[in-house]
Amino acid sequence: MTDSVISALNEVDEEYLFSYENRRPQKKVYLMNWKYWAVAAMLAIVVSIGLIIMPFNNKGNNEKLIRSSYESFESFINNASSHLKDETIILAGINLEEYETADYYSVQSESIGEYMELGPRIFILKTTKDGKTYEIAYQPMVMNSNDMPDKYKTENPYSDCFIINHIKISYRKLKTHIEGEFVGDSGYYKIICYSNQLSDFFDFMISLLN
Amino acid sequence: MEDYEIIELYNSRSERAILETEKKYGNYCHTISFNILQNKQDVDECVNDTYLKIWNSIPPACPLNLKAYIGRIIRNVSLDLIQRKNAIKRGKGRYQVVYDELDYALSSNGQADLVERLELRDALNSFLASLTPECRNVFIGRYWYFDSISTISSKMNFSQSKTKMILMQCRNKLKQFLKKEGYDL
Repeated sequence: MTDSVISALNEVDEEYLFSYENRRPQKKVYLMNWKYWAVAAMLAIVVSIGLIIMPFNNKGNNEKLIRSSYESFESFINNASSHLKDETIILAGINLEEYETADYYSVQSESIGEYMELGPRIFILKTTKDGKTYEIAYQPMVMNSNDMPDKYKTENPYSDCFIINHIKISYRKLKTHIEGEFVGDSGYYKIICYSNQLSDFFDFMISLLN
Repeated sequence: MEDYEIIELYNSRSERAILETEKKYGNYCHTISFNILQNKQDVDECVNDTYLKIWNSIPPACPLNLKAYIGRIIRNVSLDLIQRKNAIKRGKGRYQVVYDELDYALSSNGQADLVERLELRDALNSFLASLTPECRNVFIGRYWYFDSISTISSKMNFSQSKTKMILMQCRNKLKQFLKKEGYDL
C-alpha cells in the first residue's frame, strides 16, 4: 500500500506541488516572536530603573541643591542684617546630618571656614551696630543658656530678642521640622531645624524676621 | 526560455530542446532525484533517463505545465530505480526513511492494479484537499519531493518539531481517510 500511495502521489494536482515548490524560506518576523518581546521588555525595565535611580545618585544634582541652600543662607544673612536691631542674637540649631557629604562640606568650608562643621550645630547670629554686618559663631547643641559665651551674653540686648515662647512648625510630612524655643529667661531664642532642605530653614528664619 | 518554446523545440525534434530543458529544469530534476536516491551517480543516470523519456513522449504529449510534467517523470524514474535496487538490497537514504514513515502508518498490503491506482490518486487528491494549506505543503514536501525535515521547516518557517508533529498528524489522517474510503490497511 505504501508503494501505491507513493506512486499515486505522483499524479496529484499540480497546484499542490507548486504551492510547496514556490515557497521560499521566510525571514523571521521578530515582532511576532515572544522571545524578542521579552528581551525588549527586560531592557525597558532596566532602563526605567536606571532613570529612576539616577537622580538619587547624581552628584551634580546634589551639589546644585547644596549651592541653592547656600544661596538661601546668604540671602537670610543679608535679610537678617537689614532687619535685626543692633546686636540681636539668634541661636539657631540646624541638623546638618542630611548634608554630611563631601560636596556640602567643601562648599560650606570654602565660604564660612571654621564655623562650619558636620553634625548638629547651633549658629549664633549677631548683628552689629550698623545693622549691616554680622558675625557667626557656632556651639554644640548641648549648650544651654548658661554655657553661652560671655561675650554674647554681655553684648546681648535682651529687649531686642525675638520673644516667642514656643513655636513648632512641621510640614512636608516630617521631612522638614522646625522648632523655635525660648531659652529660659535669657531672652535668647533657639531655633532648631530638622530638615533635609537647608533652604526651608532659611526661608523660615526670613519669615520670622519679616 | 518559456515552456511553450521548449515544447516547440521538442515538437520540431530539435536537440536543443534537451539543452534548454537542462538549463531551465536541470537543478529541479537533480534536487528531486537526489532527495530520493542520495547518490550522485544514480541521480545523473535518472536525469538522463528523464530527458530521454521527455524526448520520446513529446510529441505526442503536450503538457500544459512542463515543470510538473518533468517533475513527475524524474520522480517516477528515481522511485523505479530505488525500488529496483531495494529489490536486491534494502537501501538506505531518505527514500527509505520516508517510505518507512508511511509504511508504519499504512501497513503495506500488496501492489494496487491500474484501476486501484487511479482510484487511489483521486482519493489522495481528496485527502490533500481536506488538509489545511500548511499541512498540505508539509505533506507534499515530505512525500512528493522527499525533502528533509530541516528543508521543509525552513521553507514553511516552522520549527522542526512542529513539522514532525504535522507530518505525524497527516499520516494518521491519511490512514483514517483511506480506511474510510474502503482500503484495507
